Amino acid sequence: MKKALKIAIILGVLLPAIASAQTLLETYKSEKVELVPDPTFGQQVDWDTVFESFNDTLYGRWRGNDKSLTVLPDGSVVVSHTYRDFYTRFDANGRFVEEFGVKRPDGGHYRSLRHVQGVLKNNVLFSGLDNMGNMLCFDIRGNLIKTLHMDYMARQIIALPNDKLALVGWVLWSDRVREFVAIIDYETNEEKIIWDHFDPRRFSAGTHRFNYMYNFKNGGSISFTTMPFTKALGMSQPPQIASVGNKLVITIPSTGEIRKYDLDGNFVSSQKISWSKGYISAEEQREIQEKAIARYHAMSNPVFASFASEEENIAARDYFISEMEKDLQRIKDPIPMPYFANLIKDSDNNLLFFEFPKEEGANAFNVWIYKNGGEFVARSSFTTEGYKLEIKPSKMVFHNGYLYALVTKENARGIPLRLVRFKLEPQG
Amino acid sequence: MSCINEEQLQHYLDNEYDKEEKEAIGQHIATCPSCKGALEEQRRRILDVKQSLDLLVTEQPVIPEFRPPVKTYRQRKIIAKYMLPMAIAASLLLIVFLRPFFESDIPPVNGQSTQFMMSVELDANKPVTEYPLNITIVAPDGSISQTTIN
Repeated sequence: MKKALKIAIILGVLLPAIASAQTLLETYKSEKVELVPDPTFGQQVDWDTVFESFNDTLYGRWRGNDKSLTVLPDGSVVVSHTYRDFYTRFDANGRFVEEFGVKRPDGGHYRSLRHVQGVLKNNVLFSGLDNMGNMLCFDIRGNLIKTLHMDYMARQIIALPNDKLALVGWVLWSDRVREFVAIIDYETNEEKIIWDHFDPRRFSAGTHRFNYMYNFKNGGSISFTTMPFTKALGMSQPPQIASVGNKLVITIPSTGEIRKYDLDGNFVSSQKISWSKGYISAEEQREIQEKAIARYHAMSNPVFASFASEEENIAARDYFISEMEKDLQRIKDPIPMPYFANLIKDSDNNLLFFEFPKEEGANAFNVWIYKNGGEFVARSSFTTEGYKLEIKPSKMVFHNGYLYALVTKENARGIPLRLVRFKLEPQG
Repeated sequence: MSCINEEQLQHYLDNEYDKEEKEAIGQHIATCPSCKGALEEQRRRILDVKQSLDLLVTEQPVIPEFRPPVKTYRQRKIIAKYMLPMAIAASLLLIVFLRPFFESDIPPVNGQSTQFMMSVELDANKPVTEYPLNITIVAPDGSISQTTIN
């Protein structure tokens, strides 16, 4: 009798998870997935007040959409804001709870908080690195638990199931750029670099096509790249990482390599994406370059740099236009693109590799599962009505079979930003 | 032990050696002025990048609470006392640090390298022809900021 009861309890716990896993994968197999907003989530939230920071600007330009979300194991949500001193917390029903800061040991609060990157041990939130390499680890009330320190810059940080962290970082050497993936021990702060890649560190203005820089007479400069994936330094797109079960997966967008490691960083196996690489055609390059030139032509009174004179700002604009036009004439060959744009993990441990769409809203993703060493099993796309989707890991997080997203509502009055919980339904 | 090369130096700084290797290199550095100098130089580079990025957050949307200074008289006295030695030390450091850049074609760490390492998260719902234009601004003090033109 006891045995039967035990089996019943285990099945009761496992079955919903198994059913949910089948459901998500089966949903993807329908090729088109409709994201249906859950009307019970986020009811009676005064979005104009809660997301008032959507209007934030920095140096005269709008930065209010630089937000990300983190879903906690209990289904509550924390939204991070760039250059703000607080996070916004919602409960598991999407109701606004509070704005909270992180308390300093000396009694004050940390300023300009970095975005929350994830959750360790079920209730320890960890932030991105500040400029001195410090990571804050704190609880949901903003009580600081500990600070970890890294000696480099980090792009992506994730929690691993063994309570360690994995991160994608970079560091400049005197003549090289090193990009790497490391595993960090939360308890000891010890790190282990498990993958790295070097590129030469050389840049001279005017020598790298589509990379532009203007130096002001009294110091300071402005720079930009018009063409995607032609960055003068480092990898055209850095690695993206995810944990799947008891494996850490490192994906290299430029080579299409999917490398699997155990949670201690020991290499297990590697495979390569089988679909062919895309290219930015010469025609598309011309379109991109012409748009950039038009943007600069439209600046009748450019103020790139407030520390430089009006004449210098105009000189910078004219220099850029002249250089961009030269490069426009040189466009001839297609530019190879990475194999995928983004990687998002769903709540059933499937990895969604998003392709580069040819049209706005025409997203498509390939579903990878860790079976037989890893294989792609479906291709699908998301669609929704009434909301504008940004398909980025910072804006979309899966939890318990739902997709939580920061999206803008179409035709909204006031601030359009919403936190929405979507149900995934097969279409057609 | 022979002199350490740059790769070994970086691994040492990144704490990637085991205890024995770390001790051996540490002992060598302690007795070799050339390697000690190289170590300091690399540490400085790392610090430069961090300082450069640190200034990213100089413009705060929320104005910090004003706290009146205390013991102004004492602070002034301390500043006056150390002003000259600090100015001399700063000048010497500048000469030492800037010298290598005049001797090689490697660009300075601040700004010119760091700005091209900044990356932007892509939106997989937009074609490449619709990506916004991201501009990096490096102020004369080395601080870096990014802005977007849609």
